Amino acid sequence: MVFEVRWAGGGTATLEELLDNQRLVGAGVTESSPLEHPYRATAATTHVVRWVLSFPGRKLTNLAAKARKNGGPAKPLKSAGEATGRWAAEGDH
Amino acid sequence: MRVVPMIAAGAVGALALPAGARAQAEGRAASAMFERLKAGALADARSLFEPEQREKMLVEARSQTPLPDRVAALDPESAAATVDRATLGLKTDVKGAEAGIVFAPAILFGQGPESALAALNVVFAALQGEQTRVGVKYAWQSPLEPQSFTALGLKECPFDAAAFTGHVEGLRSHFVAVCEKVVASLPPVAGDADDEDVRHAVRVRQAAQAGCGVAGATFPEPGDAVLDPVLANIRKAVARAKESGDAAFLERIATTAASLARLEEYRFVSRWGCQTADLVAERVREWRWNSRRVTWGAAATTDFFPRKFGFNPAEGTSELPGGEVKVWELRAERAQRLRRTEWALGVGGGERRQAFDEKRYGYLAPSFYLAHIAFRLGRGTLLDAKRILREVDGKPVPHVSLGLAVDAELALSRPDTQDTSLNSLECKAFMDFKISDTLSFRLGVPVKGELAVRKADTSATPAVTELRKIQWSVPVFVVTVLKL
Repeated sequence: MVFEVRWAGGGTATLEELLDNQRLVGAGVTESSPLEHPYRATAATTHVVRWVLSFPGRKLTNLAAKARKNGGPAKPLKSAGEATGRWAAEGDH
Repeated sequence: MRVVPMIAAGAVGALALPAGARAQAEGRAASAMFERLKAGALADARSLFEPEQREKMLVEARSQTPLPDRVAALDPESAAATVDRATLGLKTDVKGAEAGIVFAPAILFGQGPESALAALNVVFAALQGEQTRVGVKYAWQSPLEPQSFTALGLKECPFDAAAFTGHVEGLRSHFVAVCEKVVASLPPVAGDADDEDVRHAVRVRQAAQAGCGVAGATFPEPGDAVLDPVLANIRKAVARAKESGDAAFLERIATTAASLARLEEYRFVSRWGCQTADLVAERVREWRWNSRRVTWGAAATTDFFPRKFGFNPAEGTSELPGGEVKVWELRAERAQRLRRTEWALGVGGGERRQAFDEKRYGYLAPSFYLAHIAFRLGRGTLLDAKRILREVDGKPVPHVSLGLAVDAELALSRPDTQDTSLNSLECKAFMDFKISDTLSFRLGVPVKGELAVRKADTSATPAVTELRKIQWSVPVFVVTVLKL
């Protein structure tokens, strides 16, 4: 699986936690947009992906998270117009 | 279009039972499956809070929190200060050199700063009188790092198993109701069997029914037998089934709307509710600033006379130098930094001679260094609210350190013509301007005493004997480039 999150507003953000079907698959990844995090997950019909992205003291806009499975097309998980300091959300693929 | 022949798994056996008994059996199966899913969720949630996970979080925070300068403003000429890559310049890091280079070969050849060899520096320098210096130095910094949340003044993030179990248990009746009344009798998925979307919908339906413990239904994938995706599959399967238009089915969905909403509201735990990576990183930064950081340094240097060939105008009275060793020295230093102040004590020992055809005499060379980060360059305050050197974009603000360095060389043995045991003494007051990572320079006022040699002259009347005495010099100021 590849988790990807994009935003406008520049700077870096930290993917503090990424869970796939209740399992921790990523933590502490700091990158600028687009942040991509590939990970291995147990095969499942549906992957419930939950994440916490942090960017203390800043406001980011046009946040959008996607996931790709087995090299397939990216599927949108969730998007948000803006978030301040932190964006915690979930989606499924 | 080929319709997928999908019949609710388990329906064959279940249809043999009266409706009431069948519903009871489905309810029991759903409750049993829920118990299994709850146990799995509890185990997964607990694992998020295990010490290994916390340690992993701490290590991640450490790796992302830059260390303070290896030694924030340590005298670049000392043995305990090493460079991260290389410095090159005139009258720079190499004491007494006209031009020199100091570099870290391990880093230049691709190793990371965490490598044990990263702090090994090699020195090459050209000295006055065509002499050459070659040396190595190594600095070892105490690996002082916070080992626990307690050391950082943070409480351990506890996992409240009872609260989590209660959170999940609150779903049971809603889960059973949805499974019994809706999922067990999901209509078949209609559509083209070659359509990937339809095939996926079939798998989702199957996974939802397996998650509800419907007899005969099995999980299509090993990762489906988990509460989070089971709830997602139920939600997706029900949403798709609504499109079937089956009036009886839609009525059942309506009667379980509240339970379906409760299942949608469920959220698995997050370990970040207690402490965030940012908070941990901030505490690591504070801890490092307020902890004494000790650096041990060692250096070995040798100065050589030049090799000269060919015509010798003084043939018969003196030889030409042939690359003889002028000075060799071994040096050890201990440097310590705490908040804005650092100091270093060192001692070196070796042998030196003034001319290549003389005997070398032993010496001892103590040194002392003290520096204090005094004020900020530009507007704003030097320290932040936590009394830590302020950073902008992760870099310390431009600042000035005031300091004093004293280097002495005491003769262990000396020629008869030297009337003092002091070979040299240098006291230097300085201001280090730290503009950025890559630009810093020093304004210094050294008071320097060095041996000056009066050569013997037997042809003079009366004859002049050789004499070695200290000669003092005070330049108005000296600018030294520390980093470019």
